[in-house]
Amino acid sequence: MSTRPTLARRLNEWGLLLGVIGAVIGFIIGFAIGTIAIGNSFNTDHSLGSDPGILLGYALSALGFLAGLGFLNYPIGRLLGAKRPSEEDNAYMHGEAGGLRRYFRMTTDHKVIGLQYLVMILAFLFIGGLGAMFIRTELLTPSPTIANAQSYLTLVGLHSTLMIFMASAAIIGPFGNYFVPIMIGTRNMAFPRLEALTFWLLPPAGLILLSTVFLGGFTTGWTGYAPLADQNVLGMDAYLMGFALIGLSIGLSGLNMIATILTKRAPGMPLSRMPIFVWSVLVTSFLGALASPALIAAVLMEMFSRTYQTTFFVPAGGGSPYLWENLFWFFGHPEVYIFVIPAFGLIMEMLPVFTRKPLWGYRVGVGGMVGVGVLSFVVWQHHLFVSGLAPSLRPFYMFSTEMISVPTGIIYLVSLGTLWRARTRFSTPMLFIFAFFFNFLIGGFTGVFLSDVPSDFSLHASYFVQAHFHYTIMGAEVFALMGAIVYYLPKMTGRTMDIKLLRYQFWAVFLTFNGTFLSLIAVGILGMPRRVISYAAYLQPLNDSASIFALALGLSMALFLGILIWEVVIKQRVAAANPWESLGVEWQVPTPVPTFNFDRVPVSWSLPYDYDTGKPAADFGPVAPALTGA
Amino acid sequence: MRNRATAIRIVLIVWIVASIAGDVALAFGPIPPGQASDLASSESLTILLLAEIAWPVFAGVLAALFFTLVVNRLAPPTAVVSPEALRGNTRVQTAWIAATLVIVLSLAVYGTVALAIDQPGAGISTVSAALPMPTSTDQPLEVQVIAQQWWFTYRYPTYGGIETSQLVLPVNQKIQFHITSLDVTHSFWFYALGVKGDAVPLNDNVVTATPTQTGTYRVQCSELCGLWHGNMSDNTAMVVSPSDFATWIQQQTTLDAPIMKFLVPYSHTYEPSPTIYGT
Amino acid sequence: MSDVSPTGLTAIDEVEGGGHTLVFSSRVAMAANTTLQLSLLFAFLYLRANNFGGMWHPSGIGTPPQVLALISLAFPVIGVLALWAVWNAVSGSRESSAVNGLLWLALLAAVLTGAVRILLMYQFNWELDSAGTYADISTLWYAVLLGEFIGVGLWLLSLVMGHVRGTDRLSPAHARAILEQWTYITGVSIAVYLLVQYAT
Repeated sequence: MSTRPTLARRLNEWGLLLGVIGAVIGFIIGFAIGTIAIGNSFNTDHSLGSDPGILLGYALSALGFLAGLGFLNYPIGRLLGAKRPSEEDNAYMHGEAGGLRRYFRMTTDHKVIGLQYLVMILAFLFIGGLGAMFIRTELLTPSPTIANAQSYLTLVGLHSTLMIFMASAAIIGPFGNYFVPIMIGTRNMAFPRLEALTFWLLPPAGLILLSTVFLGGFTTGWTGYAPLADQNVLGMDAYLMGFALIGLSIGLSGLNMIATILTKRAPGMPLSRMPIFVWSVLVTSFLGALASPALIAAVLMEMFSRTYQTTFFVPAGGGSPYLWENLFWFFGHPEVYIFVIPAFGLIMEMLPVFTRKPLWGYRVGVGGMVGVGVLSFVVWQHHLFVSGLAPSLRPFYMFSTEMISVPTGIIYLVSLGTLWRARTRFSTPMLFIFAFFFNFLIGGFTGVFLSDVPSDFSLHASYFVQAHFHYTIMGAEVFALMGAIVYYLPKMTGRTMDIKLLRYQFWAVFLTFNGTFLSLIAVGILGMPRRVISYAAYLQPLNDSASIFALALGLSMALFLGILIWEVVIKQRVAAANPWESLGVEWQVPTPVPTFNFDRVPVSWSLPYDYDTGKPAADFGPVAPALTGA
Repeated sequence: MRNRATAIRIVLIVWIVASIAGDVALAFGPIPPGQASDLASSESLTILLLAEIAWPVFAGVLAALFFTLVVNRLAPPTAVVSPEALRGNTRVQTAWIAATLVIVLSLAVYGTVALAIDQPGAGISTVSAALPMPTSTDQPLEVQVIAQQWWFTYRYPTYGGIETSQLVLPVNQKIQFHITSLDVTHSFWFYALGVKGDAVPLNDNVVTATPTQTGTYRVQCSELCGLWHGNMSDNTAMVVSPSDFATWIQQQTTLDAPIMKFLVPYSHTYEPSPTIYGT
Repeated sequence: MSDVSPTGLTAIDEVEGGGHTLVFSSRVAMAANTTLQLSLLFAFLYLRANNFGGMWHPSGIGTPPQVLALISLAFPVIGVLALWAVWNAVSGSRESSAVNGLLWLALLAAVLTGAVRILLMYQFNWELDSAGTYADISTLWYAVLLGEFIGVGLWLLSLVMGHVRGTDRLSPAHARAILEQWTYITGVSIAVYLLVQYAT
C-alpha cells in the first residue's frame, strides 16, 4: 500500500460529485452542439430548444456522469497504451479499504454493487409507486379532478416506464450481482467494470426519464407507440434516451452474467450442481442480451425520426406504426420474463430452506425456466391480436402463448413437490413465497384469457390486461423481491428487520394488493380501457374500491420501507449469522462477506438443498486427505 | 396417520364442491361482453368456457398449496421417504407435463376453431371497393369507422357515403366495420357488440358482427392516442329496428346534402393529416 | 450427488476465465449484435415489401455512390486479412517479428474504413425528411455500422498501443476475439451493401 493516494484515487473518492458536475457540463455541451450545429438545419422550432439539442445533451450528460465517476479512466488508459492497473489499483477499485464511502463511488466489488442496486431500485420503485397513488386518486371520480389530461398521461407514462426500468433489474440487480459470484464460487464477475457500468447507467436513465416533466411530459405511456411519439413534444426525448440507457444496461448486464456464469464457475461445479437461482439469472441474461438490441434498434429509429425527421413509423412518409409495434414487442415480451424468471429462481432457491427438504425436481425446474425463456421469443404478436396485422398468424401466436403455461406450470410442480410432506416453517419470507404462488396463479390464469384470440377481442387493452400484468409483475416479482429482502438482508448488511412486525405488514400488503387488482380485473371485464382519465359513470364504485385499496396498498408498502429504514439503518438490529439455517454457500461464508469472498475457493460442491443429510453446498474445510492424492 | 387421511379427504371434498359450485355459478352468471351480437355471444361463450376450465384447476392448485402448507403442519407425514423420492419423481413430472400439455393443446385447438368459424375480424382488408347494398340480412352492410384525435366519425358507403358523428346500426343485420384512422393509432371498441379493432392510418381493419339487441351503447377508444384519449368515447351509439334505421339514414342524408360535395369521396383509407413531428 | 469435484482438483485460489472468457463474451456480444442487425433487416424488408403510400423509394432518390461504397468495403476486408495474419502470428509457437507491422496495417485499414464510410454517408444525396423509408433505413443502418466499426476500431487501437508500447503483449485470445468481431461486422457490411445497392 502506498502511503499517498494517487490523484486518480482521490478523484475517485469524489466520484459521485464529479459525476454530477460532468453530467451538467455534458448536457450544456451537447445541448449547445445539438441546438446550434444540427438543430438549425431543420425546422424544429420549439420554445424550450430542439430535439437534437435535448437528445445530444442527454447523451453527453450520461457520458459526463460516467466520466466523472471514473469510467473513462481505464479505457482511455488502454487507448494510450498505459500499463494495466496494478493489483493494488484493482484492490482499491474493489473497495478493499472498506468503509461507507465506497458505496458512493464506482467500485468493482459485486457486493457493493448489489447493495447500490438495492437502494437505487427501492428509491425509484417508491417514486414510481407515488405516481400510482396519484393515478388512483385521480380515478376516484369519472372525470378529471386533481390532474389535467396532459399531467395525467405524463403520470401514467412515468409510473409505467419507471417501473419497467426498475423491474428489469429489481432482482438480478441486487441479488444477482451480490450472490451469483458467491454461489458459483468466484471472487468477481467476468467484467467487474462493466458490472459497475450497468448499475451506474440506472440513475441517469431514471433521472432523465423523470426530467420529462420539465419538457412537457409525454403522452404515449411506456409503449411509446408511434406516430403518436412523433407528434409529442420534447418530453418524448427523455423517454427515448432513458429507454436507450436501460436497454444498454439490460444488454450489458446480460452479457456479463452469461460470461461469468458460463466461464467463471468454481472447477467443482458443473452446470448440474448450479443453484437454481443462478440458472434463473442465466436464462434471464440470455433474454436480456438477445432481446434488448431490438429495443435499441426501435429507439434509434424513433430518435432519428425526431431529429432527422425520418418517417419509419409515419404512414404518410412510407412508414408503418406496425414496425414500431413489432420491434417494441419483440423486446417487450421477453422483457416481462426478464422480470419474472429471476423471481421463479429466488422462490425455488428459498423454498427448500423453509420446507427443510431438498428441492424436488431440480432438473425439470431448470427445464421449465429455459422453456419459458425460449418460448418468450415467439409470442410477441399476441400484443397485436386486434391490430389487424397478419390475422392468419394469430393461431400460431395463440398456440405459442398458451404453450408458456406448460413450463410455468412446471415451476408450480417443483414447488408443490418441495412442499409435499414438508413441515413448512412459516417464517416471514415464506409468507411472501406463499403470496407469490397465489398472485402468480391469478396472473397466469388471467393470461389464459388474453392468449385466446376470441376472448382477447373483448379484454384486449382493457383494465383486465392492466390487472393481469400487475399480478405478474407486482404480485410475483415485487412480492418475491420483498421476501428476498427479508431473507437476504441479514447476509447483505448483517442486520435484520423485525420479522414479527413484518407479518402484519405482509398481510396488509397482500390483502390490499388483491383488493386493488381484483377490483381492476372486474373493471376491465366490464369494459374500461387502460390509460383513460375519464370513464363511464357505472364503473365508479369498482374504481373507488380499487383506489381505496390502492391507497392502503401504498401505505402498506411505505410501512415496509419504514420498517426497513428504522430497523436496518437506524436501530441496526443485529442479525444471526444464518437465521434461516440455510445450507447455501452464501450463508457459509462469513458476514460481512470478505472483500474477495473466499480465503480459498471451494472445489467440492453439491446442490445446496441437501436438507435430508444436512450437508452444506460447498466444502470449506481443510482438504480431505483422500482427495489430496487425486 | 388417521388424522392425515381425514384431512386429505376434507381438502378433496372442499375442492370438488368448490369446483362444481363455481362452475355452476359461472354458467348461470352474466358473462361479459353479453349477448348483444353474435360476436359478443361467441366471445362470452369462449370466456365462459375458459373460466369453467380455469376455475377447478385454479382451485385445485390452491387446495394443493393449502394442503401442503397447513395440513402437513397439523398432521405431519410419518412415512419415511427415500432420498431419491425427495428429489423428484419422473412419473409424476411426466404426468403433470402431459396433463398441462393436453389442457393447453385443447385450448389452442378450441381457440383456433372458434377463430376459423367466427372469423371475428380485426384483419386488414385488401379489397379496395366498398361492398354493394346488402340484399339480405346475411350479407354484410359496410360501415366505416374513422378515428382521429379525438373522436370517431362514421360513413355509410351504401347510402351515398354520408358521414355522421353518431353510430346507428340496424338490428339483426350483419355489419362489416371498416376501421381506419386519420392520424395516430386508435382502437375502436364497441364493448356490447364485442367489436375491437385498431385504427391505423392508411390501414383498413375489418371486423364483422351482427347486432342482435336494440339499445343505446357506449363506444370508446382503447388505444392510447394522446391528450384526450380518455374522452374519446360516445354514449349514443345505437342499435335500432330496420325501419328506425331507414328513417335515421333519411334524416342524415338530408342533413349531409349541403356538405356532400366538400366531402372526400368514400375510400377504405384516407391520406392522413400531417402527423410529422412539429405540428 | 458425489462429494468429489469432477475435475479432481483439490485446491485453487481463483477462477481465472482469462482468454476463454474474452473470446466467449465476444461471441455473446456478436449474438446480441445479430438481434440488432436482424431488427434493422426486418425493418428494411418490412418497409420495402409494404411500400406504404408508394413512399419506399420515390423516384428521384438514388442509391449510395457505387465506387465509394465498394471502397468502403475494401478497407474492412484488408483489415480482416491483416487481423487474420496477426492472429496467426501471435498464436504460433514462436513470436513473429511481423506482428507489429501487421497490427499497424490493421489499424490503418480501420482508420481508412471509418474515414471512407463517413465520406460515403456525406455522399448520400437525399434529404431524410422527404426521401422515403429506403433512404431512412439505409442511412440508419450505415450509421449503426459506422458506430460499430468505430467501436471495434478503438478496441484495436488499444491493443496496438498496448503491444507497441510493450505494456500489454497481445494475447492469442485477444487477437482471436478482435479478428472475429471485425470479420463479423465486415460480413454484415457486405450484406448491407448488397441490400442497399440492389434491393432498392
